[in-house]
Amino acid sequence: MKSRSLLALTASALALPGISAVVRADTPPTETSLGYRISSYEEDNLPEEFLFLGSPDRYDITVHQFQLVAPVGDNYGLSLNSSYESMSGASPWYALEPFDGNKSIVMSGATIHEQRRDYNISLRRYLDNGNYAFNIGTSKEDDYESWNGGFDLQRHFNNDLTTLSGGVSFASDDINPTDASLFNRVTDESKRTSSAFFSVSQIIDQNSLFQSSLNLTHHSGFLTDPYKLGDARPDSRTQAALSNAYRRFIPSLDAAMHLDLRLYDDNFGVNSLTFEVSWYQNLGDNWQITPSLRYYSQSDADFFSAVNDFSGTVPHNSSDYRLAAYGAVSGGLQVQTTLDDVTLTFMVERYVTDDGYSMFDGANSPALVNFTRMSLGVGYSF
Amino acid sequence: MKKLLFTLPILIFMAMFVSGCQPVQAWERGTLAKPEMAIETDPLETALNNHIYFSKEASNGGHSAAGGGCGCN
Amino acid sequence: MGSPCEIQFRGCPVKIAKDVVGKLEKEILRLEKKYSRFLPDSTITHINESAGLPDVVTVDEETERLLEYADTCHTQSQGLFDITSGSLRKLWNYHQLEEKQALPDSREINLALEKIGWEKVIREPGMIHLPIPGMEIDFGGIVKEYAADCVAAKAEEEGIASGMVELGGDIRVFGLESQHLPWQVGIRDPFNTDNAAAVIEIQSGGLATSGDYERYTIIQGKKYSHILNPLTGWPIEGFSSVSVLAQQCVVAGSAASIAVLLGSAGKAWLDELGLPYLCIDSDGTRHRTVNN
Repeated sequence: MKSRSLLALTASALALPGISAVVRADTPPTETSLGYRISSYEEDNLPEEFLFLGSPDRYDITVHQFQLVAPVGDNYGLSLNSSYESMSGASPWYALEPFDGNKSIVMSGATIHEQRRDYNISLRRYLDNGNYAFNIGTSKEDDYESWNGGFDLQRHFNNDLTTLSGGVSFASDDINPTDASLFNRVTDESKRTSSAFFSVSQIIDQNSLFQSSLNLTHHSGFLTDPYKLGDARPDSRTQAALSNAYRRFIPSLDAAMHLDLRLYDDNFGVNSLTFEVSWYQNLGDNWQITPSLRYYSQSDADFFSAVNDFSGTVPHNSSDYRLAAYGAVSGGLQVQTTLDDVTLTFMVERYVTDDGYSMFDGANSPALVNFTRMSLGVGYSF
Repeated sequence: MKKLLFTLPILIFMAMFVSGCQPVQAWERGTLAKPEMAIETDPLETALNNHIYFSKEASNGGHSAAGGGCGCN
Repeated sequence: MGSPCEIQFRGCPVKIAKDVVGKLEKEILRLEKKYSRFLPDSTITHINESAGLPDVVTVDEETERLLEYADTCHTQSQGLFDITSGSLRKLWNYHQLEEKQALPDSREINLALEKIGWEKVIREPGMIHLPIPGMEIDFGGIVKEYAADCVAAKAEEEGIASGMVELGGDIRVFGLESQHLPWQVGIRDPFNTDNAAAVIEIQSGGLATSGDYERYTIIQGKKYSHILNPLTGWPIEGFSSVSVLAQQCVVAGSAASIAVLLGSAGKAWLDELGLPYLCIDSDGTRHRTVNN
């Protein structure tokens, strides 16, 4: 394939004593970087026409994220991630037969205030032809605690044109709902999650690459939402997702296009499709503007019903809108600027759901959520 | 849908072998190394997005194994 | 090497970097001492001073391999890349021509051509003999680029994870993997030497530029390049500059030199070679495959 002249020149050059023909090893990050991001998102109120009882004000959420990435010695890279999330608002409690028109949703009465903290640490070792990492993390709320750990491995093949990755993770969650005796909620339940993924990434040409990943996740234990009335879900769930990513750089426009497609299937009966397109437009050396569009649609779970079934005759039932058939469209715009070692990022996103956007038939929910998110981030590397 | 799930990987692998005909040398990968060409360009944005969508949608799973759970779902 | 030199490392403590840079400077000086045709004690000077004399000059392995590399370039360029063509330069020497304000005549050119021709050089493993008095070799287009490769290899040996070496416009980037930012490298604009004609991203490999923007002379209103055809003795017209990207800087350098020597056929040759390039014609037209 290569030109004969190039082969001759290269062979002759490699015979020169000062030129090393060593295959480059995978190297850890060369710089230490710190990142902080604050995000705020507000869920739209539940439309009054669907509200039967309770507060229409859904969650307002603020998230602070911190990240540190640093090289450790010659062969290791360390990554620390932490986030603090605080939310307040009401959420759907249960759904009744529509009354007085469409009024069917009963929202939680009092405004809920919650906080969540999570910490993750990952240590990656870089080898001649790949790398591997261990990670451990925890997420804590007043009524929920999760611990997780995982391992992943990456190896380059085919002159580094192809990279295969794989990994496993495990999580153990403890659920201790608040006001359990008052509302006759469960106490001290638990849930286990095991997950594995396998991924192939391939360089296609000088300007494009492709990655395809298969993810299998199994949950067992208490999968019901303890705060929803009449919610009863199976105690085991297996999820499969196939994620595909295509990246293409367009030199004449100094822009990169991202296409992402995910297909999802689980044994709750939910199928879904996610399609995302983003356009990273560089403007000069220091600015980048990125519009993005995302489409998501899912089918309903086998045991979902728009109105809770309190008859006691069905083993599983939920009116959680997240198990309904619907479609969601979101549009985002990110602006990023770099000044020396500092990067500033601003992002705004609007997420809108509708039964009409769905590409799947199935039962719908009136409690679908729309939200607007804004994020402001700063990164520093040295 | 299920059919799609099974045929897609086959298409991907076919694309890979076709593309294997034009090897891109290490020194020609400058463009591919640009930050905007990464699968996940901003880890904080990816983490936040995954968390938000995980708490609002029934689906889960991306280019890595699942992370820990939370009370949001 | 008679040209500016710049070395940059990423993610390396200053103390270690200083120590390594010291070692790299030594490596550059070693190669300069050995291969400069201006230094009285260099291997090249020894070889050139023995031209026409009955004795052969023994050379060490490194020199032998460089001669072998020059031989490959000669073969691959069908005789255009010739390390004995240096004496033509004297004929077209800037200062001499300024005095004369005239082109060399065909008799002068033929006289110079007699002392030129790689095929006339007698070589045995570890030995070289220049049979004609006044014959000369020089490693222009090879040794500066080779030095950039050597310095990069040494830096890697010293444990530098990532860096860039620039020797007089020739660049070698080493040690980058996909999770890092590429190096941004400017290619000089032949029409405005203070400006970059293009900025390209290199993740690893060598970038070398050859062309007449650095040295040329104007005779009777016409610009003549310092790139001379060893077969005809005349300057070559065509490109103002050719930059080539390859795994090794030395390959990039000789590919760029050969493309310039090929003149109008240079672009097709580079296309066949399959290495990314940026060619700038004498009228400023650009042909670009690098980062495209």
